[in-house]
Amino acid sequence: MKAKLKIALLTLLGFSTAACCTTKKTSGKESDSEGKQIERDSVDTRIMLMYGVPFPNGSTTAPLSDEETQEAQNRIQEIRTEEMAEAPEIVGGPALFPDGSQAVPLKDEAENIKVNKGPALFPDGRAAGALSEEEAAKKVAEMEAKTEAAEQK
Amino acid sequence: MKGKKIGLRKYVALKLFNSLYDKAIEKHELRTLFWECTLRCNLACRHCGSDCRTDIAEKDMPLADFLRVLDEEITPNIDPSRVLIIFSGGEVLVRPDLEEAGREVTRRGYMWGMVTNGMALTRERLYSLVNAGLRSISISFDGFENIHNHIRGNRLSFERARTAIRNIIDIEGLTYDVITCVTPQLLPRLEEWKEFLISEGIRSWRIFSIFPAGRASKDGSLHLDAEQFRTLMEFVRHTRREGRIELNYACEGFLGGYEAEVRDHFYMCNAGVSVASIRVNGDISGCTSVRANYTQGNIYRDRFWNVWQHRFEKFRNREWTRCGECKDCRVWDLCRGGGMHLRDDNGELMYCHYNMLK
Repeated sequence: MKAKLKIALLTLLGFSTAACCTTKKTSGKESDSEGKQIERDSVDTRIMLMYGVPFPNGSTTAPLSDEETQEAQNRIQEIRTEEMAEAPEIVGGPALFPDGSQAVPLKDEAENIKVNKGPALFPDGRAAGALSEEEAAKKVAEMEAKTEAAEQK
Repeated sequence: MKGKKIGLRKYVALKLFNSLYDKAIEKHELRTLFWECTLRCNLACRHCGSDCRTDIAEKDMPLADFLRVLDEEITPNIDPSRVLIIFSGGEVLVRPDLEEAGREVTRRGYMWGMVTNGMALTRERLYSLVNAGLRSISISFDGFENIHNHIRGNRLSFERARTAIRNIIDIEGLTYDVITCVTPQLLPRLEEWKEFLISEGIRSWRIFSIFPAGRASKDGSLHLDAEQFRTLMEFVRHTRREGRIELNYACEGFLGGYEAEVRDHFYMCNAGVSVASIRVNGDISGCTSVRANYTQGNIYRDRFWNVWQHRFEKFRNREWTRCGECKDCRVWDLCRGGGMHLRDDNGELMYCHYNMLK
């Protein structure tokens, strides 16, 4: 079978680019140094070599648009968020600080906090429920006036 | 996850392609010439296939010796405009006469390119090289800062490479690509790394994975296992279909059902078929990634063109690779024993990509 026929068959099978990797960069023909067209009748053996460089052809030199680079920047954020959401639950012993010392669990700290177990307190420290109804109404009116003044400002 | 099988349509295409490849072997037109101009390097990367060092016994090849071979042996026999010369190392930027070499090969009508780690590629040096005719450049960028610097063994290497890439992208008409060595550390973050590269404005990206040669053979933590390798292939396939960045897996080995889906071309090893190299000591061989001793001659003893035309038998007829793991392999005729760089000094296959994907 002739080489040109084989190339045609490869094209029919949908592998023209894979068979002749310059196909997508040229129109299927190459030019020699004098500009004469050379018809290809064998595979183009110019492939991306292990320690090689891409063949200079100009196709890879056009800069990406700002939209393309911006889209990628946004996607990086998305990928990172997804990674956080998919992170497995941490099990095992307590966390350690970088110096190897053990991090103190929060509940131990909470035991040392003085918790007010009595009635709620007003900002001035007086306990709610410790005022008469009259004093309480006056207090509420004062607080509403303060709030109004703050909003007007 | 199972590997992708070769469908009938692709199988027929691979068979057709193989017969065309035979013709390419028969013609063995020289299209790419590596000049390993130095083995010195300003880094000591963990994955280095050539195991080069900062201070080595092997001296750089004098430019005049290389030019003599070009003038007397190569240029009279080929059309220089169809041959790409690649300056290779070591790290080529340690050579102060790189611009002179570039100007000389450009003057003779050749295109030239180079591969670099970017450490010493300042804006001034880049512009100077472009002025000397540099047409194509590949730069290594192996992952996020901690990964890249760990592999490269230098805390400045990521930032230097990043700056160099930004300068390269700014030069209109300079062909480039960024090369990433995918390790188990990078693989889980590869999607994020892709977005990072695009956000940096990078259009062309090449990926490879470690094969056990040089310094890389000693560090098992860099190697992908079968499952990770299949994940990588799926990533490359998906990214190519997505079309936001031009991505190719390197020419490393035959990939079975992934052929034509993870790189622009079907698998073929062009070492000794259309690719030759002149090593720092004058040895003539195929691709510079072939580290085992398949030397075919030496420019200080032999005539390069004579060697290219009449030797390279081991490269052009791979029947000898039908041994060991390959002996009864049913895809040998599509793969021909894998890339020459995957063979050791005894001809044994060190790594089979196809078997990894089974």
